[in-house]
Amino acid sequence: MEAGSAEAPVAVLAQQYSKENPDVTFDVEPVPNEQYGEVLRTQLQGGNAPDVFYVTGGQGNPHSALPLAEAGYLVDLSKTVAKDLYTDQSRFLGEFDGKIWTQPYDFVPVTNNYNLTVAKELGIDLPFKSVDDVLDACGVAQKAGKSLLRLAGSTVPNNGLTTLQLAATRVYSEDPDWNEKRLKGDVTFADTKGWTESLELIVKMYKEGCFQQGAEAGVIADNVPAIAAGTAVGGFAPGGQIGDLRRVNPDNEYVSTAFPGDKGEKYLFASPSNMLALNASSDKAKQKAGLAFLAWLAEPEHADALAEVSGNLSIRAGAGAELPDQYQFISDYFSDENYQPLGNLQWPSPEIYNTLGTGVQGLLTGQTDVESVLKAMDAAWDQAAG
Amino acid sequence: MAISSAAPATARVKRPASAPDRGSKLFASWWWAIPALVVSILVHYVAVAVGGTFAFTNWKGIGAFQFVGFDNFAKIFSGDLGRGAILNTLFLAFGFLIGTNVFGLLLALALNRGVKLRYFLRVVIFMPTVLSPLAVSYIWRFIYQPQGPLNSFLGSVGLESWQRTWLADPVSSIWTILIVMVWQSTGLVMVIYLAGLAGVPQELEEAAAIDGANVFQRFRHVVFPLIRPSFVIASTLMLIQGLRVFDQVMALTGGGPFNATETLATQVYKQTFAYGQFGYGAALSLVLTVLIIVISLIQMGLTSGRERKS
Repeated sequence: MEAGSAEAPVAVLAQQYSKENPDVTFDVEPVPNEQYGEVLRTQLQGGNAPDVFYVTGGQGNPHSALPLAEAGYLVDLSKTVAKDLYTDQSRFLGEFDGKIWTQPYDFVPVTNNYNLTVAKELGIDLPFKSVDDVLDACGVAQKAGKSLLRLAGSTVPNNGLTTLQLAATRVYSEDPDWNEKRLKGDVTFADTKGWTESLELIVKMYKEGCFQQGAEAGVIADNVPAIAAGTAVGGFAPGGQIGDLRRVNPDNEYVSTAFPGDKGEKYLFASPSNMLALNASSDKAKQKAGLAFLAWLAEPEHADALAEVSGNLSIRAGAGAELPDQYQFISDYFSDENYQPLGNLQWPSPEIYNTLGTGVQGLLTGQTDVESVLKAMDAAWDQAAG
Repeated sequence: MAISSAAPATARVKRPASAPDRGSKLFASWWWAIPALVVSILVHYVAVAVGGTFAFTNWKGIGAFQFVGFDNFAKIFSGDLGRGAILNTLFLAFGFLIGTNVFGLLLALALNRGVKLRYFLRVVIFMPTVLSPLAVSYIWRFIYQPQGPLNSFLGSVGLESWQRTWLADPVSSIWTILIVMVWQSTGLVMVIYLAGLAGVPQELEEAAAIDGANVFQRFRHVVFPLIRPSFVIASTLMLIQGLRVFDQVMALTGGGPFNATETLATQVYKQTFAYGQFGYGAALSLVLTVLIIVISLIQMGLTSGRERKS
C-alpha cells in the first residue's frame, strides 16, 4: 500500500475482513508515495511482491496496471466482480488484451482541497469562480502570514497533479479526446495552447505568492499537516486527502473544489484509478484468498465503508451517487458530466509525467521555460510510443 | 652431529626442484583459494558482465528486448541529463576527496598531541561516520529548509541576503550535498591520518625544528612523507565513495532542482526502477563502473608512484 499520513483505507477494511474471517490475516507493507512504483516493480521482478497490492489504472505511472498485466505479473480478474465496477468510459484503465486485470476500489475526483475553517477565518469565499478570485485570495492569505496553496515542488507527483488540474479546463474541457489525438500524432504538448497556459499559470501563481515560501523545495509529506494545521489553506490532491486531513485535525472542516478555468469554465478529472491487483506468482491458496477478499471488498456495504475511510466516492455508487458533504461544490460537475478519467493515465510512459513534474520545478527555479518543458514532454512521448 | 646433520638439509634446499615438484608446491600454495575465487568470479565478474550486456539492449525490465548497439551510450553522452549526471558525479567525487582530506588532515594534526580534550574531541568528530547517511541527510534537510535553522541563523546575524531555498537553488543545491558528505566522512579520514601520525617519531620533528624548519616546512618535508601511506588509503577510499554518491542526493534533493544534482548513481536508480529503462540504466551503470575503475587506477598510480619516490 502507499504510505500516507494515516493508515491506508484498504488496510482499515482488511482489518475488518480479518475479524470476520479469523483464518485470514494481512501483513500490510506501507511504501512512501514517491517510491511506490519503484519498490513494486523491483519486488515483482524479484519474486517477493505482496499477494495483493495497490496499482493505478492505465499506463502513465510507475505503478500503473497495464504494463504489469502485459508482463504477466497480474492475475486475470475477468471472471470476477471486478469487471462490473468499470464504466465504458473507464474500462481502458484495467483492460489489456481483452481481459480485466485490476479491481478499482473507489472513485477518485482529483480536486483542489481546502481547510474551510481557516478559509472562513480569513474571509475567503469558496469555491473560487475564476482565476482572478484565486489570485485575490492568495494576497489575503499572504497578509495573514499563510499561503493559499501548498505545493510539494520537489515531488514529481504533486507538480504533475497540480498542472493536470489546471489543464483540465484549459486542455481537456475543450478537447476531451486530446490524449487520443496525441497518440495519433495529431497534436503535441508544445502546439496546444492550453498546456502552455497551464504552465504559465503555475509560474504566475508562484510569483504572486500563492504557494508557501520555498515551494520549489516542498515535499509531499508536509502537505496534509500544513493544511490541517492551517498554515496553508489548501492544496491539490485526490479528493481522498480530505480523509487524511480529518484524521490529522478533526476539529476543522474541509471541502473539495475544482480549480476554475480562466473565465469560470468547469471541468475536472475523476476516475476509478485506485485499484488492487493480485500477484500471479503467489501460490494458488493465497490467490484464492485474495479473490475472496476482493469480492468482499466489492460488496456495496464494504465499498461504501471504504469510501468513507478514503474520503473518495464509493466505487459501487460511481459518479452518479449522492455525494458526501465535502463534495458539495463539485456535485454539478458530475450531474452535468463535466469530468473524465485523469489525463496522464492514458499516457504511454511514466517518463512523460516525470518530465512534466521535473519541468514544473525547473520553471519555479527559473532553470527552464514553458516551451522547453512541453517539447521535452513531446520527446518523452514520442520515444515511449516508439 | 648437529652440523653434519644440517648439511644435507641445506643441500636439499639448494638443489633445483624438479618441474613436478614446483607445480605441486605452487598448487599447494593457492588451491585453498579456489572456492573463494570461483564464488568471487561468479558473483562479481560474471554477474556484472551479464548485467552489462543489457546496456546494449532496449529492455524495459519486463518483456522481450532487442539489441540496440551503442544507442544507450550515445544517449548518455549527447543528452543534457546524462552529461550533467557525469559532471555532477565528478564534481562531488573530487570535492569530497579534497574536502575530507583537507579537513581530516587538519583535525588529525590539531588533535594528535597537546590538546587536553583530544580523545573526547576525536570521538565527537568521528561520531557522524557511524550514522546512516540517510539519517544524517534527513537531519540536514531540516537544517536547510526555507524556515529552517540555517536561514534563521543567517537572519539573526543580519545576513538576510544570504538566505535562500538551499535545496532547490540551482547553484547552492549541489554544494549542500557536498557539505553533508564532507561533514559526515571527515571523522573517518581524521582517524586514518591519526593512525599515520602515530608512527611519526617526535624526535624527527624536534630535530627539524632545531635545524630552523618552520611549522609548514616540518610538515612538508618530515611529517607528510611519513604519513603518505595514510594519504593513499584515505584518498582512494574517499574518491571511490564520492563517485558512488547516492543516499545524500536522494534524501536531500532527489536529484533536483530540475536535475541540477543528478548523479550517475541516482540516474541509474531512476531510469532503471522508476521509468523501467533497464537497458539505459545498465549503460549508465557501466559508465559509472568504468569511471570508478579508471579514476581509481590513475589516482593509485599517481600516489603510489610518489610513495616509491619518497
